[in-house]
Amino acid sequence: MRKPDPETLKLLRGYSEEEWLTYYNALVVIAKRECKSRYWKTGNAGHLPEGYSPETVVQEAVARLFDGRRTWNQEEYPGPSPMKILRATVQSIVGDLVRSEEHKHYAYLEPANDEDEPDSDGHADRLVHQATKKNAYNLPDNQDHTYALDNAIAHIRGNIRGRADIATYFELLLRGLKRVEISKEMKVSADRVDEIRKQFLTRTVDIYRELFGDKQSPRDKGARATRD
Amino acid sequence: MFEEDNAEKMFDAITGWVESADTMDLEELRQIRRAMGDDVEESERGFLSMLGKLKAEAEGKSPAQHGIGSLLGKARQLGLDAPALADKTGLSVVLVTKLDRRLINCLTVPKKVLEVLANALRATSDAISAYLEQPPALATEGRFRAKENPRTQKPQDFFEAVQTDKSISEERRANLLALEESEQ
Repeated sequence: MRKPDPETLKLLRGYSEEEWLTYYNALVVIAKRECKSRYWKTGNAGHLPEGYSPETVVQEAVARLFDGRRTWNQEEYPGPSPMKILRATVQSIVGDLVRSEEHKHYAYLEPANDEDEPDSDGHADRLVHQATKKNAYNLPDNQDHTYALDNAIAHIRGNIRGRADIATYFELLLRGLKRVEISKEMKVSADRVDEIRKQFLTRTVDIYRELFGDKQSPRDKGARATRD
Repeated sequence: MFEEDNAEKMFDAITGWVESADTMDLEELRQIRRAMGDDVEESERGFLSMLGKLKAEAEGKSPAQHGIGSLLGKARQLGLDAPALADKTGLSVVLVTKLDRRLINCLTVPKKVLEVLANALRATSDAISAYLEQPPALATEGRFRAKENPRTQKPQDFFEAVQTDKSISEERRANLLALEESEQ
């Protein structure tokens, strides 16, 4: 067992309960997004394998830092806040879990051994295999997904209509700009961007509940049912 | 703005505000989590409980470095019962119980299983290995009912235990049996 270095332990023991809860909740939100983002890519409902959840992934990341399985390299993650190292650890754990799940799918979907094929050229078995593969992957229908997301964007735009600053914030978000970049683009302080973000989320909370929730949009489900 | 086949990027852009989570205050984060449908209070209680244990371990006691007295006992210390340990490790309750009682030949347990157990129990693979290498433990239940003296069973091959486990899901069985090839 690796030991955490004394400096790291000193830092970890020094945070107040409120600081820990702030880190924890922020990391859970980040982990949820990581998981859900993979749903839109793989159609895998955003659930993690091995009984993990966004909460337990974050707890695992904190535990790894405490017991030394993850080293806090201060050159890579400088400063007294553990957020960056924990965030990287959370992303790494989610990535590993998803890769292992994908590996299992690939292993399962390896072509059948020719010796097991009763038909002479294996054509029938290959067809069955292809059909199984299609179902096993539960591949997202990109049209369904882009429709659902386009719909969400339209709803968000509708909800923030009349507030030019919030609308600008959202358009910049869609362009992939981060907080500081948005602040430069909007020529306001980063704190002001935070205020706009709060107002933005207040107006769009229902849409995000749907996006982050387990339930798919009715259109998404309907399209799948029709297709299936 | 987005390519037709790029739902993931669309989602990432729409939720780009999450990137700023580390600048949000506790109350805003709680509101966001509630909006996502989370039971924030319960989640925070669980986290603080775990944090308390981590801090206690870090204060010089380093229990993870000591020998393991029992896999299930160690799991209980971490708030995991047998089903939770089974879920966390991709095993079954039967398998974790057999491993706990050392009824499975240590030499046949795949490295990957040792690693997931070590991760779940916050121990090292070596510590798990050292535990499993000890002689099988007697069952603690029903010892007063037996007519004959209790005898320990001969340790079973891990993959045989997986194959004969009636309680394990087919998905987990397949995943575990797939390890046999990767071990060779």
